[in-house]
Amino acid sequence: MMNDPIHNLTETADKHHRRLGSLETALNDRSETVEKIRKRLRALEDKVGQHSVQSVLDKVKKVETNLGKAETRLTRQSAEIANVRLDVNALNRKVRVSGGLPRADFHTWEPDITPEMVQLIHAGLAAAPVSEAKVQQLRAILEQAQEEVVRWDRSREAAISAVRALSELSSTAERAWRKEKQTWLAFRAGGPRPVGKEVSARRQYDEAVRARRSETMALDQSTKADEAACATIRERIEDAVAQDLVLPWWFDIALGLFSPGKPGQVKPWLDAATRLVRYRLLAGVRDQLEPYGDRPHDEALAAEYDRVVKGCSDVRR
Amino acid sequence: MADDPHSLLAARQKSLRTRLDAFIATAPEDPQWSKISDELHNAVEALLKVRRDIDANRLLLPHRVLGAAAAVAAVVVLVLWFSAWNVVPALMALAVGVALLINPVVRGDGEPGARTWAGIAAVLGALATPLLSGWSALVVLGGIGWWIWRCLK
Repeated sequence: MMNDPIHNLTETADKHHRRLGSLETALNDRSETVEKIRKRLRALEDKVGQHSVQSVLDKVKKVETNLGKAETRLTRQSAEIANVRLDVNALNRKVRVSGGLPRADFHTWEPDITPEMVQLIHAGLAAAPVSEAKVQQLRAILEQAQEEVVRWDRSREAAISAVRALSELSSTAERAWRKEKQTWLAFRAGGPRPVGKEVSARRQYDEAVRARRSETMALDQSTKADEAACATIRERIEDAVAQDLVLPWWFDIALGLFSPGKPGQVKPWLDAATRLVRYRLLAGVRDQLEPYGDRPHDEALAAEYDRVVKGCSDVRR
Repeated sequence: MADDPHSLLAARQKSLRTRLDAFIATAPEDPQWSKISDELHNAVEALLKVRRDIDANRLLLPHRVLGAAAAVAAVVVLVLWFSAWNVVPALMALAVGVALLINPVVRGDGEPGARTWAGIAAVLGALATPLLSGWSALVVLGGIGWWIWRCLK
């Protein structure tokens, strides 16, 4: 019975039943595999958590400790090096002194640098000449005042011609009368000639120009004196260093031993040394050990003090 | 002929010229300058006053005629075209007319001319009242305003 539908149906159901069975078996296999993988994963996780991370952390901690130790040692050694350096400095001095080398003199400057020159430099430090802008401003005010005077003069001319016209008009030209009257009244409202303002503006301007000129000249003189003094000081420092003279204590303290290291560092070192000696000369510091003395109250000198201290600490090795 | 206003004007103009010469001759820095300037100013004002008086004299008769015309026209309007709105311009024109007839003292330099214009405006306003009713009050008011403006200047 090939075409019996019930038989066909039963066969199809059986086929499907078999396939379902095989699918179930395959599924069971897979889930077992997944379970195994999961187990291994858990084992691995445990391993990583317990051993690997902990050991890495431990290593890092150890490295840190070692680093700290090395740092402490380094600090101690650099302090020692600094001490050794100071000792070398002191020894250097002693050797030179015992060798009978003469001492450099940075205290006696006359007659190369006279007290008048020092005074001039002092004045130059404190000088604040009238600015060009201020002079320009005063000039603008003066020009304005002059212009006002010119305007007044013009208004006077107009008023004179208006009054002359009034003295000649016939009585019926009412409009002309009104116009000339208004010109005259406008002149009257202007008040007297504004020369007072012009005079005072001119005086202020002239004074400012004169002050500016004299102050500029004084500043020039001061700059010249300063340059001459600096040249003298620099020459003496160069001589002292070149002839290996014993430099004063304060000099070594402020600038260190003369060995700038590279050729390019010689000039900054000499500049700083010159500035230091110049400052001591200006401020009258004569201390044997203290390079700068106390910070002065005078504002210009205090600014110079700050500059010198910074310059010295920049070049000190 | 000192009373003749025209010869007075000529005399004032002559004295003004003299003062002007003094003013020109004085430098502004001179201590006398402000005094001389004040004198010149007074002369200018006196001259302006004389000219104004001449104007006022010249226009006295026309002003009276205008004032009478305005007053008559206003009364006529009040009688023949009486209404609440017509009363406004008519009364204003009447007031202007009466003022012109009374001829009060002249004040500003240009007042005589302004009085003429105010009188003309009053007459026109009164005549236009039958046509424009209350609106013609604006014409009269314009004349009055002009007059006051000239008085103040």
